[in-house]
Amino acid sequence: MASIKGYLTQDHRDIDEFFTNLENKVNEDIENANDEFEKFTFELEKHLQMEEKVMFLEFEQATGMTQGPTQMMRMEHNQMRELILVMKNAIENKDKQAFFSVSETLMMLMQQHNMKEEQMLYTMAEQHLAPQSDRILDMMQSIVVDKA
Amino acid sequence: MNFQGLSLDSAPPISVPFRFFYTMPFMVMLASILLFFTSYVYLGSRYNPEIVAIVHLFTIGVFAFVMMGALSQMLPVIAGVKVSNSLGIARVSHSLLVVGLLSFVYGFYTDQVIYKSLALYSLSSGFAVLIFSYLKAILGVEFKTPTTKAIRVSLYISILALLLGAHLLNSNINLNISASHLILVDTHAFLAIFGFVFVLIVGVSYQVLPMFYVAPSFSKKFSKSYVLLFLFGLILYLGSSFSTSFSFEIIAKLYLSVLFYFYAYALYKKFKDRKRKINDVSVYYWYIAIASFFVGISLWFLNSFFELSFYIALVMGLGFIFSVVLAMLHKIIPFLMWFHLNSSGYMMIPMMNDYLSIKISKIVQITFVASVMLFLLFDIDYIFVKLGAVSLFISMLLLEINMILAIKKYINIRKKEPDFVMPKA
Repeated sequence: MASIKGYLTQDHRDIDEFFTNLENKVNEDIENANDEFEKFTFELEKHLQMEEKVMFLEFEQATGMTQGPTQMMRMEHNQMRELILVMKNAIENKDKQAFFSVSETLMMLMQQHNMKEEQMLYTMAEQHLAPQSDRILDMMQSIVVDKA
Repeated sequence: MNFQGLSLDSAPPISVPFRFFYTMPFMVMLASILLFFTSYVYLGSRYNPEIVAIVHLFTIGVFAFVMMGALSQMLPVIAGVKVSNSLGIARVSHSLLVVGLLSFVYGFYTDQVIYKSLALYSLSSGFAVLIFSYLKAILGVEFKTPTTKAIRVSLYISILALLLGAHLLNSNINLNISASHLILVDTHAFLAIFGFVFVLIVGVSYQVLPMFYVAPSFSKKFSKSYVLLFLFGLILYLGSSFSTSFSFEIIAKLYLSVLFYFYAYALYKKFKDRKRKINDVSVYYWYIAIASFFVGISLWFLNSFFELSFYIALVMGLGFIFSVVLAMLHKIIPFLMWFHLNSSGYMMIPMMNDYLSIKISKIVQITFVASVMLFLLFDIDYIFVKLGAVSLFISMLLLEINMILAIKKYINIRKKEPDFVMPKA
């Protein structure tokens, strides 16, 4: 049986990879960093929606906690989305300094967010949702990503 | 499981860690002034009262202040626990520690019992309040990780270091110096620096390196076993301190040196293999720390054969630990400012790189490294100690100015109405 925690944690690592590819590309050549930006933002948005549309709802239903950790995580997802918009502007304006200022912030926000999810929320989810993990993983993998 | 720590509403107010961070450069500036005026003869022994005072400005004023301050903010994030009444605890403990440290320094410089006694009570109670409130929080962690376990171990060891420190100060006040006094001094120093500070750095680095630099995680085997293996070495080494057998000391030191090298190499590998290749001042601080640690371990081992205490203090204290502290500060301060503002509903705010001036941070780093280099030349001519003290003073003055400029930006934004009123989680 696959694990929700394992799957989402690996997704965090993959997104880190897309993020660092983007930073490295901008560092070398900001003029041609659009592809890396699109790949990173798509993967990040997909991850956020897998949680918001599937995992958080299942977690809330199983635990009855609707205003607790998942609500806090949703707020941080929105903070990330705001930063992505600022990042997009920096790339469009070919402003490297502005890009790295926002990328530093986004990186810190993502990492501390991931840490809280991996160590607490996913572990809790694992305890409550383990018997249904195959179904939940199927739902997450087949999600259609809405434009943020 | 206490999920409150996940919410900014329940995270400590920004003033909790910041009061410790913002006090630190003042303590180092004071240490620099004292070092500048300290006579060459006093540098010969770390047991001289002037040197004891200066050393504590670093160990308490820098290591303990910044690490204890940072823990208040880190516990909610890395352990999911909240320190209850964190603001009240910070106010009381910070005041006690500042009064205690200044009394300690003045008491040792003037040899006045009243100030030493004030230091004894203030430092003991200040540390006790902090350590027990953090321990209470960390003992409530449901999902234990190598980091939470390392924090717990380091806090337990800090109690031993504190008790021993209080005993030593009390003995000094009452002029009740036992035959084993100097061994206890060394044990106190070892417990504080390697038991508390080093174990805390190890535990926090498991989380912070992947988080700040997108570096590979430490292997499970490493993170689960390292602190345990280190604890065994610590007991072995302390046992050897009370033994007259030289070979026992060498075996214990050899064992610990291998463990230290192992960690230094692991740190180096993590940085070398980090996915995020962007360099900033904090990355350079880590490189300085790693290089110093490699050198410091060798010096520490060789100290059994040659007198190298001053070099060890410089390389391990300033080069390694202080560099880690500065690396962390350059990340934590701007992030906390941005995070607190954004989470309070302020949208049009500076990004992380816009709080601390990068230009000033670079000068701080250059003057800091210069001061360590100059201190290391002290055996050639004493003038290098004075030049090092000046350089360190400038470095810390600029750091404090940079931090004040950053907090001014933060306060100015705070004075305005937020763009949104954030819902409570």
